[in-house]
Amino acid sequence: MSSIKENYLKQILNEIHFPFDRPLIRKELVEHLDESIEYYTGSTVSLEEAESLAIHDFGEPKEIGKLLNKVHKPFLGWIWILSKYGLVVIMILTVIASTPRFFEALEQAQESAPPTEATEIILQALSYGTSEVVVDKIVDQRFELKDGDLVFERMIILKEGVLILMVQQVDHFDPFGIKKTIYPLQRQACLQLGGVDYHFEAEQTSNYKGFIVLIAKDIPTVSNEYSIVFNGYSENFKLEVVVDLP
Amino acid sequence: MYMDKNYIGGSSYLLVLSLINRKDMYGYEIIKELELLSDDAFKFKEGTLYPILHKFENSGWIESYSKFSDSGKERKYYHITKTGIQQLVQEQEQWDLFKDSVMKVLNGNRYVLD
Repeated sequence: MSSIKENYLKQILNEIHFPFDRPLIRKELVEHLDESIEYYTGSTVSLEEAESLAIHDFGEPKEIGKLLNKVHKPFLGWIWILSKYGLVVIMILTVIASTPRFFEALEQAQESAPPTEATEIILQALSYGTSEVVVDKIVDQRFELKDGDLVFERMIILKEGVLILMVQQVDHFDPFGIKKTIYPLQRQACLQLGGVDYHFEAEQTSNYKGFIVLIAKDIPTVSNEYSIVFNGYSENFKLEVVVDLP
Repeated sequence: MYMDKNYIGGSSYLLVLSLINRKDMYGYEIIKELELLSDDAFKFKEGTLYPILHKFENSGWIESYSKFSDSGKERKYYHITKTGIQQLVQEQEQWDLFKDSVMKVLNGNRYVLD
């Protein structure tokens, strides 16, 4: 491959931080550039000129690389890779919850009315042990999806503006629950309050046995109606939670 | 006439989705088709198409597969999904609303002045 094209591709790919996606992206871009070069060489320009023209048409490499990087986010990519190899359990145990009590608490949290010990354990595991709980509500809303159901079990709101949603997926054939739920959920979930969108933090999301913990930060704690919209999980669905503020 | 890219920006989702909805297409083909169908009005930096396509794929609106052409070239084709068609309908509705609203404002002058 010519050094002009090679150098150009390098500049694009350097902006993409998730290494596992780079080869496929590169392949697709090479296919495009080659086709464009072929188009120009057909019109009697030299190969070098054709390359320059194709690159010019393609655009500023850093800008394109940055746009691609936004779509190929490293953390989501790592989750994806880890889920494929079953390492996700190890990661969650080490990163988020150091004790199985966390998961037991998640299971208990489904049924037990607030306030409970389960809530405390969950909050401790998520490093919010000292935070003041404003709302702790059993939500119990079920959404039927193509591959199974998604049940929103419980919503906790902390005084510092943190919203924690506990979700369980059921009847999926997906031992780690990653591929079909956590991946689209965390990216597509959007909490809407007073016309403002709050996105759930991917880094703070854990998944085990179909349990998902979604965390949104810097949300106002003054609202008594929370509307959470999920989009792109085969269909759109809307979770409405009304809470009684003290 | 070249169109200001800000004009294309807002409608790029609709344009790209509607093309893939007609038939399975690969990136270069989409660019050329956009140029052709718009008489070169929609000519933008070709590389900016791929972030859009990959976003669509991540959102489950399109799926991709590789296919060899008759001349032996490998190409990555995109195919619209059921969710993608739903999205296309939404994009179309938004566009219609936008278009109608712009026209209302433009035509509004007359009534106000009368």
